[in-house]
Amino acid sequence: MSQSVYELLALGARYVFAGLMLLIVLRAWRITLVDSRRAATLRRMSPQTGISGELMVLEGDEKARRGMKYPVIKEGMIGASRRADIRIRHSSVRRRHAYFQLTEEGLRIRTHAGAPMADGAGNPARSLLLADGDEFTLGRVALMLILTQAPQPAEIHRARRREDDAATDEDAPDDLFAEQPVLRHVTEAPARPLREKRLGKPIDVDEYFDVDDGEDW
Amino acid sequence: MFVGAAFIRGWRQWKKYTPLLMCLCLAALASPFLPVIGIYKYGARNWVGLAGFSVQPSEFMKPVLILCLASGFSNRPRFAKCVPTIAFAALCCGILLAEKDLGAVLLYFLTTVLMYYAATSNAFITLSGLGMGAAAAVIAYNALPYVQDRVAIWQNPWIDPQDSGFQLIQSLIAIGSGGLFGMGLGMGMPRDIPLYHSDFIFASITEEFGLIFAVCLLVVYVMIIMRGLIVAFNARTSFHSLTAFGLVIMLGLQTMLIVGGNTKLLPLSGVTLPLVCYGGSSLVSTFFSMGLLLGLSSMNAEDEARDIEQLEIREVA
Repeated sequence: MSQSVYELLALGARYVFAGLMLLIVLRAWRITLVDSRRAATLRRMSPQTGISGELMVLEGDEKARRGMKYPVIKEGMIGASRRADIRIRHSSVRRRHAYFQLTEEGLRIRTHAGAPMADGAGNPARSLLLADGDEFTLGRVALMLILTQAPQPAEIHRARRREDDAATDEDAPDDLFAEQPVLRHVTEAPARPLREKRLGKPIDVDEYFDVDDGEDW
Repeated sequence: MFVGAAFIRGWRQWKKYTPLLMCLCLAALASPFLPVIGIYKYGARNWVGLAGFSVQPSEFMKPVLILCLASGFSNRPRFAKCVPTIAFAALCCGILLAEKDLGAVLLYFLTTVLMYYAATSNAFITLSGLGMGAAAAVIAYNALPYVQDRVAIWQNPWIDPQDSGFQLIQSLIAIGSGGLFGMGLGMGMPRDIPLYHSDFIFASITEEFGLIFAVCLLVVYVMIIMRGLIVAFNARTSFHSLTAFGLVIMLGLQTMLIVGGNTKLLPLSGVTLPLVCYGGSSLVSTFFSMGLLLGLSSMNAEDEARDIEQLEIREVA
């Protein structure tokens, strides 16, 4: 190839190189936009993260001591793992201990895979409906729920009275100062049991936490 | 790259093996001082000759430094717990300063400071570190004549256009000659610039391919950094998050230093333009770093897929 031909080709090719680079940049930008839209969609799918109250530790030790408070979002998971929405670091609390959801009637908590939970009276339960001020126990940690977005107590009382009436318990006291049941037990099995599917051989997140944890974030 | 990805996916007990990694890193950085294998090249004693090949240990130790820093700074420790890690980084910088590799010193120092701030958000300690770095730079300027030369040439290369300022002047002429679309591949004269294939590759590219191409190249680096930061945000452990952050920060700093040196924005330093410059050690190290980043990204994607599946199960239940 002669020098003059090469010069012509080189002069023409410089526009090609510039165009190619611009194409690469535009393509990379488009991929970035697609990824960010996908991330926004995933954020919309994720549980609502508004704070609806807090859990206060009444009795506990280790890293869940009396007086500690955990913010409660509208729905999520309670456990000891870092991925838990409410992380209670105690040996008696499993990594994935229970699921909770704020409903119109209060905070509904359901245990996962038979994890230990009890109401304020110490009765074991698989599912609890908690109102503002209610106490319960996860493992050996006694907690009290403080709801900031709870329905009014009168509404809960009316809801419970409707359920009590439906149960035809004629001996139920109809006195404001009479001792009311603190919690309503929901011991029936859920319509569809909560189960975990195994995704082939997922990476066990427990391995991530085999470290000497320092201070909390 | 494969080794990097497999390594980060398989390495679980990083706290346990970090001290060993630190010792290996220090030993590797100090190896150019050994009389048999150490090589003095381009004004710095930071090369090692092995079986006919010359390698630069400071390049290979960049990802190792980041892994050690990420392990030491993970889980947001208090300053007292960070002292061993900071001391390790300071030792690395000291060894590199003794080898006269100022570019690597700057990279290691800035990466350490930025990673510490990202891990702890402790502005006081970070600013103190930057202040100490500035003080060390002033001391180095006053004590080391080659530092004074570099700063003088950076301020005004025309004071010695035929000798010490020649490289920078040729670089500026080359960048200016390129125009928007360049002179054409093979049509420029990048060979007039000393070390055009390594330290001044950016000037050579700008001369032959033009400003648009050069700016697009920088945009590509910015995009790599952006996506690396997204990987850091989405990582599930603080160690992985800091590792990703450190890798992209080092890539960004390196790019900034070399492009700044070529365009007279910053004094010249002996760092390379990642994945573009001639240099086997730099290329291998950068590919390993990219492998680490890809491994972290793949772990994030798997965690994300598992979360989506759990969300669907929860909604069904």
